[in-house]
Amino acid sequence: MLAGLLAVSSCSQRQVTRINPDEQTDLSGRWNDSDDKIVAEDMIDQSIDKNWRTEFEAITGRKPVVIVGRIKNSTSEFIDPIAIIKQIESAYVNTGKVRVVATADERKGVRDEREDQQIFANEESRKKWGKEKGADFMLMGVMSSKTDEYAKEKVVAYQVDFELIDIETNEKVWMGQSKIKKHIKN
Amino acid sequence: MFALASCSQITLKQGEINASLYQGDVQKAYDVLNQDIDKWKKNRNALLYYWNKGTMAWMLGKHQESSELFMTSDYFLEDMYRNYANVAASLFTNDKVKQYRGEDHERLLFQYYQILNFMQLGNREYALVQARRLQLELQRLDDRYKGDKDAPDARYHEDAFAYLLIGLVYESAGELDNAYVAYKNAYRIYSNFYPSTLGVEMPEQFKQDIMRLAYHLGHPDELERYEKELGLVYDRSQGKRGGNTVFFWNNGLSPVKQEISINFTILRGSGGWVTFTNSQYGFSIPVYIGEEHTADGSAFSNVELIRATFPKYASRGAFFTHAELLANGRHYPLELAEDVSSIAHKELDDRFLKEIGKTLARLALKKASEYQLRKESPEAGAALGLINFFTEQADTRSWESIPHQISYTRLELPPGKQSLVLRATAPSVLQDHPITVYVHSEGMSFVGFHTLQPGNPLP
Repeated sequence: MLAGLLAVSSCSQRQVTRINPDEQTDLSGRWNDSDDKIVAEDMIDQSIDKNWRTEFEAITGRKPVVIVGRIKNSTSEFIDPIAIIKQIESAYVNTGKVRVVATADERKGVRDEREDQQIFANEESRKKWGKEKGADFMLMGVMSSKTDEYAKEKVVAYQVDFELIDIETNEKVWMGQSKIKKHIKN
Repeated sequence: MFALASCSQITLKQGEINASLYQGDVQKAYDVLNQDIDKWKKNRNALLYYWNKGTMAWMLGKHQESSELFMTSDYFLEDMYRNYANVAASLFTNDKVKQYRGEDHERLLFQYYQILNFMQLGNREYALVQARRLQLELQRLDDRYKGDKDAPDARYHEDAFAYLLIGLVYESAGELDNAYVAYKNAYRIYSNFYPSTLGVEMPEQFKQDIMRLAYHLGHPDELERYEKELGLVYDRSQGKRGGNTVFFWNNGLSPVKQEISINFTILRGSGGWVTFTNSQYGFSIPVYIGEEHTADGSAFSNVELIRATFPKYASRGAFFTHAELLANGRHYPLELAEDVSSIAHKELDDRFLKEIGKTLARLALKKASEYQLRKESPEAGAALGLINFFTEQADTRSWESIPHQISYTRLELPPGKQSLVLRATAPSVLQDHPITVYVHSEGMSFVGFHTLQPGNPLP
């Protein structure tokens, strides 16, 4: 009887198992890699074979060049959109249908390297200034969320809006939306 | 009648931390916390570890480390709602066994530090995320005490300062409509609950800010209403922008929980009920413990005496009574926006009867099981009685490095690194603290400073 009242401590052995990266996992209910993947695939499907690209190719006779701009996080969670951005860029480049140029942050590193080459690289391999490819379109996005919760239940509705803007004319040539709704019960 | 008691490793360490804080030696307090990380982090006191260390790191200017600690605590709290395993155990022992979940005001305040961290790190997007998380916590607080919020003696169920802070973050991001909505909530609470219940008046700076937004967002009727209610005339020639720098002054230290004990007489009733009485406080509280314990022949005697323990806040207050910020050759008075001590006292007072009910139910069950066992084995019953006596302790845990009060002011400074002076005063004492603030060319800069000296340095 007395023994039953004493606190029993047990040391549990941590287990780690490799799982398929495509498997959907949900532990805390917060935004995770599965959500990144759903949104990125949704956006790729919605954007890649749409009129903006085919019309651009028909008029100019070349593939459009896209730069990924800011993905604004207006949710109530700390979400880094980099995984979504990289999946979209990778799909654009790997399908060969859209060309992608470095983002503002990435450009800085590339320009530093080019500057270094002007001093340290031999003349044949030295890359020239002023040859950067200018983007035709900028992809921008906003992630937002609405939380409805009471007692031990919570519903979080995420909405991710992407738009492709013609850099020369400011015209929005494509807009896409991806939604995820989660019901979290404790 | 009241007996003060303290024990446990946490309390001892907290004493060392407090002693360092009273001397203004934040580094030492931070080092003490670092000594026994495992003990702190283990299980039930983890939240206090993250919060205390996050506060010390913030005070030491380690904003990245502080933000990581507070973010961990944020997720920890969110996930905690999933773990109810240790709740059942505490029915028989005490609240100290439970995971510490923080008081309502503490769950808002860590987000204040986090917003300051993000703003000081120049990460406005995360400051906005935190402001939205703070809004969600405010909704939870409101939902929890929904039933009685319009009563004259309403519980602490909404927080004006939290809304004021959210408004400032939105304003900093240029989201003026959202800022105005937050300010309207703050205005409502500063107009009623804060002055009447907490003794905090609406800050003059805030009055100007809400009128400025009402005017520039095109709500002339609402501006007129504010002017009428506040007895002020808004200078319509003022620009759309308020000051680009917000300074928060954390003053003194929050109250600490101490254990008080109250002696009760248990009168055995019938049908499973016993009544706890205390003539000094006029308590007469019926508690159901099960029919087998009140039936004839039960081990429970007709009259029992028992000692119950409860947590009670003891104020530490602040040594300094006023402060002003010296900048650009001007003096900016710091205005009280949040009285943490008053809120803490209010919260515990509001739930004191509930605490009593919960404690007495636990005591009655413990007593009943003790007698039951005594019938089977007198020695084992006596041993259980001893265990029960020693495990009966009030939960005196709280986040002890937060301020007694928070004041603020707002001013316009040129972009770049600026040097200011915080002048804190107490009767016949004047103390200057140099403050450095990096003023962003866009948006707003937030900066804070904590004068730690309490008015009543409790051990």
